Amino acid sequence: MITRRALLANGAKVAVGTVYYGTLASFLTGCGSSDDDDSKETPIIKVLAGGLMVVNPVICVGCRRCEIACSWSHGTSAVSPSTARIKVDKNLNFGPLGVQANYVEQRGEQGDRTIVPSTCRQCDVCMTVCPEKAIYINETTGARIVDESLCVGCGYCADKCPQQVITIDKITRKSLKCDLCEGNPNCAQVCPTGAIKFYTWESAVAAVEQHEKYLTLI
Amino acid sequence: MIELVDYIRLLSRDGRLSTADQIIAVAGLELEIEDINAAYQTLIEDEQYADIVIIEAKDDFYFYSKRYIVKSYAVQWIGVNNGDLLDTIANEIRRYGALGELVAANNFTHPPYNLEKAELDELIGKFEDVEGCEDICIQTANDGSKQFFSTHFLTTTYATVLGNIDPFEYSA
Amino acid sequence: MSSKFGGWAGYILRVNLTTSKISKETTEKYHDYIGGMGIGYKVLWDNHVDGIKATDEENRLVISAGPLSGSGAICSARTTITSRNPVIRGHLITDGHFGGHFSPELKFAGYDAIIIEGKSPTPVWLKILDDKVTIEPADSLWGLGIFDTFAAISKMMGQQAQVAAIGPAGENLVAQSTFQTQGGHSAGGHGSVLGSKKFKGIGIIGTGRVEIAESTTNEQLRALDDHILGIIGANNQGVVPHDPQSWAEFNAGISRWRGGPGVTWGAADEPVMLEETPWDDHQKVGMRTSMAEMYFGREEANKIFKRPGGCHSCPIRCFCELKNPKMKTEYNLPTEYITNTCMGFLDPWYSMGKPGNGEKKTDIMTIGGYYMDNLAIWSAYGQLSHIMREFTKRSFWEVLLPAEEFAAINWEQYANLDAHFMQDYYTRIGLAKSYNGSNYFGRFLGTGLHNFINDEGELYNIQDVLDDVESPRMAGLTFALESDAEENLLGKTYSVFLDEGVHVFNRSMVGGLHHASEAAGQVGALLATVFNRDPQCHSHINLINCGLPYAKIAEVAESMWGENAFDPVKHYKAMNVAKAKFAKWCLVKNVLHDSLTVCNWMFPLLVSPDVNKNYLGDSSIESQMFSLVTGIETSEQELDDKAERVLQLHRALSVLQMKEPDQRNNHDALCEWVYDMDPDKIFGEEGTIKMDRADIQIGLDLFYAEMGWDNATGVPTRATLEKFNLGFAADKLEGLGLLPA
Repeated sequence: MITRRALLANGAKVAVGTVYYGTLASFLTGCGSSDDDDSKETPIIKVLAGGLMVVNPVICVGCRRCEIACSWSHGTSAVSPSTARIKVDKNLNFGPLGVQANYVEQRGEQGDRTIVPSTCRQCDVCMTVCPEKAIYINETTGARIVDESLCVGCGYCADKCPQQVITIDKITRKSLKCDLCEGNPNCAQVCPTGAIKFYTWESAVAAVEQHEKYLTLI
Repeated sequence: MIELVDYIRLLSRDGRLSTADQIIAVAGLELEIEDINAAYQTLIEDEQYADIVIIEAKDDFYFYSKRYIVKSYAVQWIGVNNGDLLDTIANEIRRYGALGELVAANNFTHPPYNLEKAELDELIGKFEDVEGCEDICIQTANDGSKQFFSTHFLTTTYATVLGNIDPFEYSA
Repeated sequence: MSSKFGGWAGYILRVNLTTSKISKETTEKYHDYIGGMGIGYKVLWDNHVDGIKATDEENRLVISAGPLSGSGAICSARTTITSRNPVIRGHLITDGHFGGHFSPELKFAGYDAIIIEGKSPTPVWLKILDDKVTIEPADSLWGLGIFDTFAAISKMMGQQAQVAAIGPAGENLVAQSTFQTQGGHSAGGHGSVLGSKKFKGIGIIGTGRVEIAESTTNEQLRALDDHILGIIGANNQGVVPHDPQSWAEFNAGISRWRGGPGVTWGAADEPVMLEETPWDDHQKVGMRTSMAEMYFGREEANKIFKRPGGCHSCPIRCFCELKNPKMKTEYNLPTEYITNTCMGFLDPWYSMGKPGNGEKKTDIMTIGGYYMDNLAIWSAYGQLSHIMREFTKRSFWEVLLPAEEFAAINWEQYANLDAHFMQDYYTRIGLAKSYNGSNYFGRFLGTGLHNFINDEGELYNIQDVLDDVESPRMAGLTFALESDAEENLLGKTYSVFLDEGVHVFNRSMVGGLHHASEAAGQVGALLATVFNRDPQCHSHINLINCGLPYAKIAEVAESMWGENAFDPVKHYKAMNVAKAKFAKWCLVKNVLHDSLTVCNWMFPLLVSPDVNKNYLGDSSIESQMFSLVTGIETSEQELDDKAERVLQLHRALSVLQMKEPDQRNNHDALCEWVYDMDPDKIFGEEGTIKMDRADIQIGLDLFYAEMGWDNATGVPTRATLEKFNLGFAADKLEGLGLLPA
């Protein structure tokens, strides 16, 4: 049995098809897993192919080309940090935890200059809370995708998203979330420092761990 | 020759050229190529290998990837690694000179030369003794930095002007 | 919301602080002026009031974005601030700019520009939450430094707000003050305009979007983006690396493409050691530029550089995010971080005498940079700092200041290059009259230089001037340094027009030197004649300082403008038509960029790092961006024509505001030192940048001809104005006897 602690501590390689307690997503992201509630003793989950986008805050330089490329490649190509499925502007100036009294000590351009963009961790929360069951998993990429024909724009997914990277489009009233661009993410293509990368589940552990370090108050 | 491509690219990333035999030896490949040129022509027919370039040196063929190395660097690399240091440097100085420029002596502390400061200073003296290099001069600017130039292309007085330009003197 | 075109948001906000009325106007009537600077100058023209001061209630200030701002086009996030400028004689119009993320946010909120007019009785700030625009009380903000202001407004609005504000300098009506946005971005000359209106700042949250034309696809946008990435270099379009790299045929000391072995982002949480940055590696574009290397030297830069930064949509990242722990431990600042890209670091350095690289210089530049930005002080491209340095060198302060005040200033710190000097120095400038104690020093430096000199550039008694004495005495300063003998100045009455050291370039405007005669000779000199402040034009720099060998640059210049457009560095030749064309092209492109908005510190992209293209770039990028984003198919020439319209309007407005029909002699004159420096050399000799009076007059002849301006006066003719649909401007000028016959 491989525990989450062991996985993260040893940086153990995760191979497709291995057996774990709970879902891999909950191991890596700390998000609640729909399987945790099950009374099954040994839930068996196959690790999916695909992965997630993670930003390395050490080399993010705040250009927001990721937001731009995301905007361009979706919908009508209109550019907006609100409809972009990666969120930089919200954390840009003061870090992920908002304006603190000691803002000079915290993250962000007004603090220690570290920018901590938020990306979708492709966890199960939005999928689980959606009352219309409008979010499904893309078998190839592992991305959690919104089925627009089922989405009613209730906003529950946006509300509960642990990374706060889901928005409801004001015009179409549909949920907008990261779909990993069919496996060739636009954000990663345009990043001028390679700060945002597409990590397979195998290699995501260290990257997520590092990102997590930047989500706490100093 | 496809087996050599990854190695060529890897070595090129490191600023190094290599012959086919060298790679085969280093990589421990069991490969024999009779006609290097022909093998190369076949290789680059496939577009994905179009970045691989062959360049002839004194007595061998070298390879590099133009993703990481430009031809003028390759020529210098070959010159340096074939023991023609002075000639290579002189040609480089003239290459810039023809376009109206000096060459910072500091350039030769970088690849493919990697000279130490002391070696560089020693070298400067050697030019005077080499026939055909009478045009190669060195100057010291006001800030202590040294520049080479060729009198085939630049006058000594203008070289002094160029060498002492402070880009911050008036605006930044 | 404008649905016909992509790009423009469709609305301009007009905020009247006297009546507290906020209204919306359509942007469409400004489309012929593109946006940005174009909107600014058109509004200032339309609302022109004769003879007012910059700080009078009737002066308007325009903050404007362009159709490209926020569209994601590379380097498109500039904001232009247009208004009368109290640093300039006659309080003429100038445009300042800042980058960062402000104009995109303005566009996301649904606006192309904000016009601030009138005057509030009490301190206020403007809150914009999409279509909810309100004037808020700023009593709790008034007096706050810039950084605390950003935090306070963000706290009130939300952490994702983009904020722009004035600091204590603007509040205290210091002429040399800025209007700034987060990230170290500041626009100069208008802080006190807003201060006089009791206007502290603007906070914007925009949850909307910048529309891209319906006909434009992601593939097209990305294709253009890739095309640009295949051409773009490092800051100031350096297209070769600074040090040799294996992928590059050339390298050059002037290039800002410094990212490579030996360069470390040493202050990062995990130091980032750079490798070579090949021109076609798109994931390394953001690692090319290191201004910190240039300013601090490698050893210091590798210690304090955390990462590069900059504006929305720009991959170049020319800003330096620095960490100097001594800011806290030694100098009692609340933070150990400071961000800037140029004058914020260089002004303290210039002020303190340009010390060499080392810890003292690092402290001076980082601590000085903090104070300058926190107080929001403008140096007029270094003019304030050059005066400080030269006057100190010449021991003028002892003459100019009251004895007690002179004694109260810690000159020992100055002499020791002690960065503690920065605190009182900048505080005096930023607080002016509010400073606790006699402060002629700070008030002099913070007021436009033109107020203190006579027609020969000789200094008045600055105390008399600041005390509003009607006929101020002369200060009685002389050239008394040994080095003055070399320039044949020893013993003469000191004049800022004769002293190369203070870098006043345009004599008429008392304008700062910013890429003038040292940059392509007459071309740079001519650029300095047109604007009412330092020109802020890098169109020529982005070619001549690109790092390619001289012969290659000359080749490009010749193909663009004709033979001998670009002389060898410091070995100039006589004026010619090619140079006049070169100068005009630079100005048109500069105005184009400030209207679109696009960064003139990167564009135009005439050259590229691509050896396969023979290092050629593409001058039509801007029009390609414009066409794709707006959906209005526009050629390079058509777009340049729109920009030229704005440039012509600027000239007409300057004439109108000055009420001056003779621009040649009363606006376009250069300082004596420009011609008389290096007395042992003649113009055209190698080793000097000196100009020749007759040659420059020929330069103006040829330049005016290119611009369609009257030869004698340099004023646009009716024919030219009408060509650009500015007949109304011709009418106005004619009515006042200002139009050439």
